[in-house]
Amino acid sequence: MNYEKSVKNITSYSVSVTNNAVTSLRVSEDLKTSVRVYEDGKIGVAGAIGECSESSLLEEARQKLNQGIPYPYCPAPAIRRSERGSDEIISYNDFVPACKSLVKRLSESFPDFIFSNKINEEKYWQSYSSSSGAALNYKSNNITMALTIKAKDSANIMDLMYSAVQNRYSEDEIVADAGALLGVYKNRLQIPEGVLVLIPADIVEFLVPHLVAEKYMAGSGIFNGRLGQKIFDGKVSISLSRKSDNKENLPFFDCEGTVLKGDEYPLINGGVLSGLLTCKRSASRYNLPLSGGAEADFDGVPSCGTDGVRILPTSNSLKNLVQGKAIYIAVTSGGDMTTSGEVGLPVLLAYVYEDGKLLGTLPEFSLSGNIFDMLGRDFIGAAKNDAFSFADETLIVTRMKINA
Amino acid sequence: MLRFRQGYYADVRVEDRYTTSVRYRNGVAEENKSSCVKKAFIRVFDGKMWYYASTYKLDDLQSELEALYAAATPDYFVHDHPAIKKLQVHTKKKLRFAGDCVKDVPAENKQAVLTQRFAALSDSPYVKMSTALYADRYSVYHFMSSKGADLEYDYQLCGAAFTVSLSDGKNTFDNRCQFTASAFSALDVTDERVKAMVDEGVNYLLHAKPVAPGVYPVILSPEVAGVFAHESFGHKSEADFMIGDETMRKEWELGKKVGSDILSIYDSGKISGSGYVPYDDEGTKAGKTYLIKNGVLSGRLHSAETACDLGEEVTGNARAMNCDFEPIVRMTTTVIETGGKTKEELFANVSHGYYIKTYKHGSGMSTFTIAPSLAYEIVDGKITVPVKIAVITGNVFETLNLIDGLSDEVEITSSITGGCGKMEQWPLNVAFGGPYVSISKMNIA
Repeated sequence: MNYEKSVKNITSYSVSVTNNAVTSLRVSEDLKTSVRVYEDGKIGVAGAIGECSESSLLEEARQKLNQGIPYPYCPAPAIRRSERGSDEIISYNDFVPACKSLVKRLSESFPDFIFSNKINEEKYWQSYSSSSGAALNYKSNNITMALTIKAKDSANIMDLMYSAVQNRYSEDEIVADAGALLGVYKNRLQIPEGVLVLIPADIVEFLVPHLVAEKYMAGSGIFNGRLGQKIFDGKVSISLSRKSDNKENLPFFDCEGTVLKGDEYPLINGGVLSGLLTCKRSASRYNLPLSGGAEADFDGVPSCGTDGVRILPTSNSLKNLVQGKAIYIAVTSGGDMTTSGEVGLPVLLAYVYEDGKLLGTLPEFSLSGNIFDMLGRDFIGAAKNDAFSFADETLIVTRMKINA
Repeated sequence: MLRFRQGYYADVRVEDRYTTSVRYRNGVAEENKSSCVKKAFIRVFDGKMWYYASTYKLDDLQSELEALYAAATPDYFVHDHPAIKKLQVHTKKKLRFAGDCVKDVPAENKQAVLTQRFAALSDSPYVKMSTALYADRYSVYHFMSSKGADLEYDYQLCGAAFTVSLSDGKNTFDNRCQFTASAFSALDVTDERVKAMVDEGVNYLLHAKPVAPGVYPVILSPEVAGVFAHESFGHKSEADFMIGDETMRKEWELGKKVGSDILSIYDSGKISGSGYVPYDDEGTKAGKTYLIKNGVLSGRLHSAETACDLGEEVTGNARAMNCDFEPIVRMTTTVIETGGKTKEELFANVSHGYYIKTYKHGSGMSTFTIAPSLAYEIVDGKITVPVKIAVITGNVFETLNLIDGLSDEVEITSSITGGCGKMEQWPLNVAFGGPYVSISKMNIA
């Protein structure tokens, strides 16, 4: 019988920060095991939370074959590979004191602001093995800073957010990042005219559903019929990356044991639509390569996932892309894209950026533009936000219409 | 039986969650699973800090509890702490759905809800892909506390969602519809509604035109009015944003005028549907809380901690997404109350504006944003052509004061597929609703 087994174990410590004080500690442990069996073009899946017997799960999964859910058996290559990312960053005993120290320093350094929400440390371990001989292991740790920041004299529930996911910890760098944002927060500036905008790269998420194989092959996405064609500027490259330098505890293999060449799969390469997001089902159905992004619930059938999709930097330095002033988009309220690619982005907080520094904040406005222009004729490049040290944020440099 | 120690407040919440998920794409089965997940969330308070544990080790809850006690420092007067005094003590077992439980419905009946709709779902050459999803959830909660609470209650929702991806070779559009009920026997999934959804999607695909960004009068459907209430004002009513914040207390003083005179919004956990929360995750019984009454700020949503901090009463809104998380202040079912006009009268007052019928998602802080799905132009009081709008957006308080008409019937929208997101906890089951709402000016982009 052909089968595969995946085990995921996540332990996390998380503190709540409420009005400049650490108010709670949460300890969580999650252990999930999945077993999938394949026979006669069908799949059977069983899953368990906590300690479990593999033979029982195998038997349960075998019985689920009776549900008749079609799924191709494409054995994972017999690769044996283990990878260890970051070691433990802060020990359990040191975690609360470290968080208290950070919050105290932030509140003392920026007395006009209130810090709240969460700091989280996650220890992640995942394994994959199969009857075809694959044995994959991944272990890593990360820290997530998700701090809301509110000016003490503000009536908003929050004014901005400091978010960072890292595989290391530096109180000094976090305080420096907060300083970059808050040191000039009350320096109110006018919206400069005719300048570039610096948009966080997660705007790429608008495109992701259209890169999913099922949607594309059905002809219902915005890239309809353009696989292999140039759709964006030649500098635009978007990949599904599972490289070891990721900070998101993303293993080098997906839930089906797919390991990518160079741990990366190009979706848009030099502006050309070069690949689609697939799992083994859609890859088999449409005769497409595996993109290495399959995901599944612990007791579910795999489907196409989107974790790890990111735009690749075009420059080592944001300064190289921006001459003079630009507008850095710090906080948006939702935003979306129509089926014609028209993007609307209400901006709650933006800064003027120049030469690696934030200079001051701007009144609220909204941005509009077409995604094919933003990543086409108006695209300048993508680079890490060099105003921050700890936060690892990629920015897209482009032009959009500012509606003040 | 758990042994609670002196010197600490502690509570334990156990959820036994049964779920079903059946999914077809283009008529082919992709998923068919039933899951049972049983986990616990333990809280210990020592008067200074809360200590939480999320665990699947239900056989060893006492050890988990002892580990939290070890991390905390005893305070033998902790039960006199004002936040702990706010916590209610109920001892009741009420399993409302046990006699009509989705666990007892044969799997083939659940599949038939979907397979019987395949013809209606694909009855157009423009349908390039279709998905049909059946989902249900039955949860039994057991809540115990060191104050003596011992509660057992349940929650149930089931539903079906249908999506079509449409294309004419040039334009594309996704349309969807959803059916929900608190019991399988009450789930009324019809070919007519599925077919109407496909037809309306095709009309949108073929005829939708772009809109020039600007400020226009807008009418929101009950579904969109509900998400507007949730995003624009509901999140602002969650009192955890106000803890220890003097500016917020002054700005959000009860009795302040915050909206149009005709506007009243309430939140209630007592309404059947996806926002049904008979007890919150601190054991507080559900209530009905007016957030705005006749345009005046009338109340806010609380946990014991926030009620203590603001000197107000608990409202039954301390909620966690599941046993992975601690309860925080969240909405349940948030509703705009009716006004005195008919739907027809509201539309008749608009010479040129837009009707927002359905939405994709929404968000809200000082500015709220809703991304419409189906939207139409209104000309001389009549709904005319479909339009493509990326977002509608506005300043919350300005917009609440620009509401100039409410229709006379409320519709509540429940959801089996989505929910509310707040920080790390998404999706939490909520519901919302309202009448048709007319707003004299709103930004369209």
